[in-house]
Amino acid sequence: MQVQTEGGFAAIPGLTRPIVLDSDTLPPQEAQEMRQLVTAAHFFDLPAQQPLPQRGADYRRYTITIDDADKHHSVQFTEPVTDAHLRDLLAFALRHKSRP
Amino acid sequence: MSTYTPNNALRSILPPHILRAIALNSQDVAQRNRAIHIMSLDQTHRSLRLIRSQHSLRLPNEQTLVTARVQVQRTIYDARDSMELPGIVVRTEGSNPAGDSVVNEAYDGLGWTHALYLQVYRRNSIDNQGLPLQATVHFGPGYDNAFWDGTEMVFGDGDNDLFNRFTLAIDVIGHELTHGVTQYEANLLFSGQSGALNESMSDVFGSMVKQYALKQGVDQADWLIGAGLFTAKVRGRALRDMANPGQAYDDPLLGKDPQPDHMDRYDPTLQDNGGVHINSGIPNRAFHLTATTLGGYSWERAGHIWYETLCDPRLRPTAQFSDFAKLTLENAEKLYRYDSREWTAVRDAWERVGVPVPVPAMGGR
Repeated sequence: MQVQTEGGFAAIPGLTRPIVLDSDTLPPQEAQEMRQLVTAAHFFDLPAQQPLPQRGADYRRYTITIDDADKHHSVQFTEPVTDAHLRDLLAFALRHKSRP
Repeated sequence: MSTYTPNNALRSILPPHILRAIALNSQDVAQRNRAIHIMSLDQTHRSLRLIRSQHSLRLPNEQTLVTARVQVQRTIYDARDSMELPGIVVRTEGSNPAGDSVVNEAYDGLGWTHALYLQVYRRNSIDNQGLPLQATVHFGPGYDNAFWDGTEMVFGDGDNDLFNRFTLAIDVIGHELTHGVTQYEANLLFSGQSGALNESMSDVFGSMVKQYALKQGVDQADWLIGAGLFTAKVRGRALRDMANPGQAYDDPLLGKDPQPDHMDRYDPTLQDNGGVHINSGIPNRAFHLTATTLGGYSWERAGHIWYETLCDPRLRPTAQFSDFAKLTLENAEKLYRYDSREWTAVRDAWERVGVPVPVPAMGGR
């Protein structure tokens, strides 16, 4: 899974490095949690582009891309994330963010 | 997480200039927050005195409000590191300070922002109709952002690696609340030049909230947006520098501050909604130049001209820099006069950032 973040009040071009999580290298329990979150979100059935917000500012735009066996899908959405399952998946990724 | 207890004895003993000095200079974060909190309480009393003295306010839309409605109504929520909004209520208007300094920072920051709009511009909250102010703190896990979602302000705690909590800087709170004001006025489209103007309005008023809270003149102000947000690990003073766009940070990981200070260096990027947080450096500098040329307090003459322009019905959601510049000059003429010191300062500021405004031979249109 890869999460690309863009924009926000603290939009800094140097911080656009994506979060990359690989179920083969994550601890087994976390890899399992990630798979469950992907399934719960029906990720591969979500439209590629969620509606853009009509109001608001400084929101971040996320692009989550997942490769799973023969499946590949990307979903782009912005804050606030109203889909609870997609929100849980994003929060999981943010919790696993690391710096170089 | 640090906590603090308000010190009423300190409040009654220390004169405002000492409190301001502590708020500005103290290396102790808890002490600095305490000073800002005490000044905030004094500011609330000042708002109440202003309201009592007027009984009713004549607002720009000619609506007369009863006294009871012109009072700030703040509610602070705690998302408890989740990304679900708004979270649970942790502080309401008039309640005692929470044990959590982040909650109190948000509460006080909203209070100062409301105070600037009410006391200086006679504006009754975000919508000028007394809209209650809502903010959520502790949003998301290690969340490096703050945003306005169309109805409330949201603040993350930062990752504590590169970023501290976003409530730490009062100008960030003023910035986010001003996005609400802009939404109810010009409703500048958050993309391209109109988006950069939207961002600039928030930086301008966010900086003025900080200057107003600290009673700083234009020469004392730091003109930084987000000072203190970076941890010591980052080589940078703030996220943005209104006086010197492009010089806020230069760090091996973050790179160099990309803000341009002149139209010659306008960035046509498609990222960040067309560089809304990048190209805002140009109108930010125009405001700084205007304010510093005029001297005194920024929220007085320069701030009035910018506020009038934000509320000017001729400012369209898709306005470009040149449209905005033209309207600031026309509002400078309306508020002061053609060829006045204020009018000249506005004209020269836009000229210096590469957005010249064609000027008729005679004033008046």
